[in-house]
Amino acid sequence: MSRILFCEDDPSVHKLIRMALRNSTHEVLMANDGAEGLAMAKEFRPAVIFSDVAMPVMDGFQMADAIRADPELASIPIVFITASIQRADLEEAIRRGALSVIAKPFTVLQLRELVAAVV
Amino acid sequence: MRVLGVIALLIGLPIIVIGQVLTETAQQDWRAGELARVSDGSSAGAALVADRVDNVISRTTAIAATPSIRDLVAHRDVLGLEGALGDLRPLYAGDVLRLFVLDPQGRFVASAPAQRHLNGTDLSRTEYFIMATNPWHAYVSSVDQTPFDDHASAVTIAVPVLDGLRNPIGMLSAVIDLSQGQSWLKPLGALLDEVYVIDSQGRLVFGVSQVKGSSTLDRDLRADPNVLVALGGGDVRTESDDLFSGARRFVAAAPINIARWYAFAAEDGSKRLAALSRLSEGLLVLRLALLAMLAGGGIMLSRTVLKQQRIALANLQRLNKSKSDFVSVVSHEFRTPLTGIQGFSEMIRDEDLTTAEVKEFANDINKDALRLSRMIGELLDLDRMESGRMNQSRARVDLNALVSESVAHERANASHHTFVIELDPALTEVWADHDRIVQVLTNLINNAIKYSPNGGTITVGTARLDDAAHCWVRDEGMGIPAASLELVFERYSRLETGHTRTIQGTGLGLPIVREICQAHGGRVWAENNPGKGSTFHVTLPFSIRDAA
Repeated sequence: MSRILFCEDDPSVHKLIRMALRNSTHEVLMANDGAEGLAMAKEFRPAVIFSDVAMPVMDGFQMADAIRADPELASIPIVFITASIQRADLEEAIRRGALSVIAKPFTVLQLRELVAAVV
Repeated sequence: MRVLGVIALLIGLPIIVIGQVLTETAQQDWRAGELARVSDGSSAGAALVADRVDNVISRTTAIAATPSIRDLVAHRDVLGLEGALGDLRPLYAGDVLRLFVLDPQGRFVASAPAQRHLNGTDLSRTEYFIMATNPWHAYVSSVDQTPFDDHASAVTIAVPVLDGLRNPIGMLSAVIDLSQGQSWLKPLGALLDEVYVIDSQGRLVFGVSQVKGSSTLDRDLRADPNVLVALGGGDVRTESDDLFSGARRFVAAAPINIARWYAFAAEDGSKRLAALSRLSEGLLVLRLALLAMLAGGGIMLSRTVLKQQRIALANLQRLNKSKSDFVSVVSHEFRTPLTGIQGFSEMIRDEDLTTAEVKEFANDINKDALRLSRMIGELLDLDRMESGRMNQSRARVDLNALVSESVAHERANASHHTFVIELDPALTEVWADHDRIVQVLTNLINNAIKYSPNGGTITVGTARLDDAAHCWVRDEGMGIPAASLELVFERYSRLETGHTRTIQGTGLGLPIVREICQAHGGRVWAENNPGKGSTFHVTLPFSIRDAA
């Protein structure tokens, strides 16, 4: 049983993730934007972070940079959730140290499998 | 060539997003030191990134955005290909013999007319297609080596098939019969003595000759001493400038780049010019007659024809590009509400839920569906407005009443925010389109909500000016970068500036607002507040006479 953090600003997708993982064996934390995600990462030290890219206040990539810059957080793997799959976007995600990328729309099954695979 | 643009257009493939996921995880974490290297700008770092991306892609069942071209072909049942073949026919007046669909490695997937064997050759095993994998490559089959048809000569052109996100997913190869004469070559043929298409080995593919007694169709050009000069290299200039001036006029008219000029003596002693040009990877050898007058008359004619072809091709290319951009941007936006609709309905279908949970999820689906519906509506609206096809019906509109209604409607979606209304009782009616004004108010209020994710107060006010009604929406949110105050009114501007990732939405709301305001003779603009947030202002003239 691990602690995992999701950062997603869209209320509908945020709720979907929360509902889809409500029976998960892991402790699921939810943040609404990159700044909140960073703060929660610092406080709770999740095992994995799943983050949307487009978010207000601080976007996914900015948050990833901040996490990499903090020696105590830098080892936390990050998976990006993105609405756009183009090679250039994948490359940018990887350059920020992403473990992997999942595309929207994802099914609930895919989300749960991803969590099982990565955590 | 036109066909290339049209083939590209024909492939208006639907974007089917398969958000499939790593089923086995990319377990390799970054090795020590690698992570620092990927962003140091070195080529080793870039190679590492590329390698990693390939790894991610190869390990997923389909993290790429579209299915394979085999799936697409199966889906369209090859009849679609027959249709594509049929669509191409009028362009070439029957010159397109066959269409092949290839995978990204150039291997055979399907053909129209549908058949796997041709002249005893099993197409799925042929090496032929591997050669056709360079985008835009025109592989010219020589006279006696055409494996696929009985025609004397054919050229095969392979073009990449791109999905809406510009990922190459396969190739389309069209076999075009040249022996009937290409429509685009005909004007040149009428103008010139001789026109040849030869392949990169100098073998003749196709020729048109005005010169009596000369039959070029079964001649190997390499045996022609004149052409040897042209191909052999060495720029031979002669003293006759009028040869070149006629040639220059021709070049000005033709949409081809002349790489080299050769002047030489022909077997009858006349001086001739040959121009070597590359045209879609094939080679076109032109011979210009000494009689520039004849050429002059011919040039005028061909200039018109060729120019039209050029314009048509440019339009097709532009249309195709903007269609791709549009498709890629729109698909990006639609995916977020689709995620909710897909996910919540999946849980209703697959899980044992309480009635209350089912109703709750159904409500979430409904909200997302409405959001998607609104996005689509906005898209169509904007398109219609921009092309001037939007109908407006004007009537006397009570702006104060509309403001109150809009606020009442939108505040239901914004539980973190406080709404304040400041209406000017002196505001008389405006002559406007009721529904469009509602659209303006709704969009601006929604924007205010979006730009202030942390809540705060949203103020909507009206004021009566001398000749116009003034309305504003103020939020206490993050504000807008000064450089973007104008930019936010551009279509999808959010997706092009560096600030894009922080602001959600369709990217169309504000452009629509601007179109509507301008259609009413009014204005809309944004400014940042002295404190927090920004204010959007709209002015609507009381009558057309007062329009700005």
